[in-house]
Amino acid sequence: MEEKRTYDIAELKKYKKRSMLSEVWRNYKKSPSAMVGLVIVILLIVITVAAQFMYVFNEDIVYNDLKNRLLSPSAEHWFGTDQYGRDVFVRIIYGAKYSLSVGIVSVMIACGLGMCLGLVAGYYGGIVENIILRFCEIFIGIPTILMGVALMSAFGQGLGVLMLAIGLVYTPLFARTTRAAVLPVRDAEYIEAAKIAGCSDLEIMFKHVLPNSLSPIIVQATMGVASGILTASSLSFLGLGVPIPTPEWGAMLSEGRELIRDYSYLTLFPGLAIMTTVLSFNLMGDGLRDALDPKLKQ
Amino acid sequence: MADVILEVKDLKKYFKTKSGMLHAVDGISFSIERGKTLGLVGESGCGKSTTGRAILRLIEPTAGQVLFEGKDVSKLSRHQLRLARKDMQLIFQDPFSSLDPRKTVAQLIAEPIVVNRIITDKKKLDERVAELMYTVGLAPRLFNSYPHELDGGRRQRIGIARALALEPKFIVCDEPVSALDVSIQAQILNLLKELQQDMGLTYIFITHDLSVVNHFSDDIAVMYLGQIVEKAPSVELFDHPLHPYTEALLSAIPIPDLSERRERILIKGEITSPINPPDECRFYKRCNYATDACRKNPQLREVKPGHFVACNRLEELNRL
Repeated sequence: MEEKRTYDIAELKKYKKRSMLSEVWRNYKKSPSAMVGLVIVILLIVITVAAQFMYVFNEDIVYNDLKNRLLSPSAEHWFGTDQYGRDVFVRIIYGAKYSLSVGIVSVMIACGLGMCLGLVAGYYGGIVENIILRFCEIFIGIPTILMGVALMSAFGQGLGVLMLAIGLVYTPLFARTTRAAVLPVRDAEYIEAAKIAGCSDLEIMFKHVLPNSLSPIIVQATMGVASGILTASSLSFLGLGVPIPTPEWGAMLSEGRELIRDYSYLTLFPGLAIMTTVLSFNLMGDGLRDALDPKLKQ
Repeated sequence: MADVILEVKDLKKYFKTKSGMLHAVDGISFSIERGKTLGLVGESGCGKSTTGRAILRLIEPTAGQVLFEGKDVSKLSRHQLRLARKDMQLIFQDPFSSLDPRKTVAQLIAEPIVVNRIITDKKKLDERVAELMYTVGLAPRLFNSYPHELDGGRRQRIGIARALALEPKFIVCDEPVSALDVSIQAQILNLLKELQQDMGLTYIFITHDLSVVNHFSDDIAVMYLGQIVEKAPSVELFDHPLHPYTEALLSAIPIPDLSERRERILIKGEITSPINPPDECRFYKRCNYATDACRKNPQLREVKPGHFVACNRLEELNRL
């Protein structure tokens, strides 16, 4: 004990850390459907980003070209043109950014808020837990769309408000998921070990409890993006989302609705876009759930 | 006056249950001298672990005092408690559940040092971790391993390194070897013994394994249903057990010698429920010598120097 030894730290560093991420990836790769979901999501993101450089909002997205209105899908206009002569394909590609950003940002809001609430509720238990959970239940009791409508009409229309509204609507779901995930971790012996090591409650919550209860939250978040996109589209369809000329998919559906009998492609393609996006996020969520399940670990 | 590091006075921990108060620890008192080991033995559910945790205030004691170097641990504020825990550590029973599975060995060992802000320099921290790993006999190549990649003995060494990281004076060992294979048990016990000699540690060694505690402890306290029924120096306890329960326990230790015949004392009868126990000797229902005299709760008293027993019929039975 007394002898002073020197240790070659570089030597120790040689033994590399293998992150949990690589293990999850190894499991994730095994599922073909999950990989399809992931590829589509990546493709969507690439297309969305590319579209922002290829097209200009005022010239390519919102304009009138009455000579070319209501053309059927053709080589020139892949998805046809709408009642103002605008190319539907271009609008869908350009509009992907609204759906994706609403889905992702609203989930980030919901996840951030819900995670903190659920963590506090699950970790402390007792009265705190009761209050938080009862409030969540009240909010869950209100139908999503109704809640969105109420918030949108209270705060006015706009992309930011839409994100916030959907984020708030989904917060209680995240709070409940997090709390449920925290419960078994809270009583684990390593939490007691952290306590005796001198960790404060905050340190325990964020360094030990959260990392160990993250899997269901990640899955919920991935699935939440899909629901967020759907809710955003529904609200836009009802005319409560983003203002009308914006090529949001739900708004496009709404615009095409009046002409559905004769020009069904006006609703078909935005609908397909929503479906593909939601499906790919759900596939990804499913794959993540399996990959993160410790029972499947080898 | 001996150098007493820890004194427990009338410590109680009751749990509220649906059918009444569960007396997990019911008024136990003892003291430990610096550098010594007190073995705390007893059957499952007798309150050994609860005692250990109540001393460290991982669970709040219902009543009683825990004096650590003269300070009452049970009255410390959160901040003071955090400081006090630098001197009082715990080694857990199950090395499989007491290590955060998402942390590497190095992170686990470094944690107490980091959260108490003892070493902030990253390089010095790594050195300290490496030093601790060497102390507990962990190979340097395990630096970045995860606990689930290691066997029980290595995991327990991590637990010990964590406990040592703050250079404590006193460690509660809560059945540190009961989850391990016998061959590894010996290694860990030797390690704990060496560490005690090197660092002058004081241990409370909680176990249900009498053969382990015999070699390890200076004093042994036998617990039964939340109370200490007998406490004596190890040799004395093994040579002259006075309480009927201790006697029965000792007779149950297997002897690796077929030729030696001896009588095992079997404990019969139903165990007294720890929920609202009646005010009688806790061992009354199962004791071979029980009479009406045992219908009152006996006090722990010193019958020989250093030898404490709680039995109403001690003199009658003429066992001294």
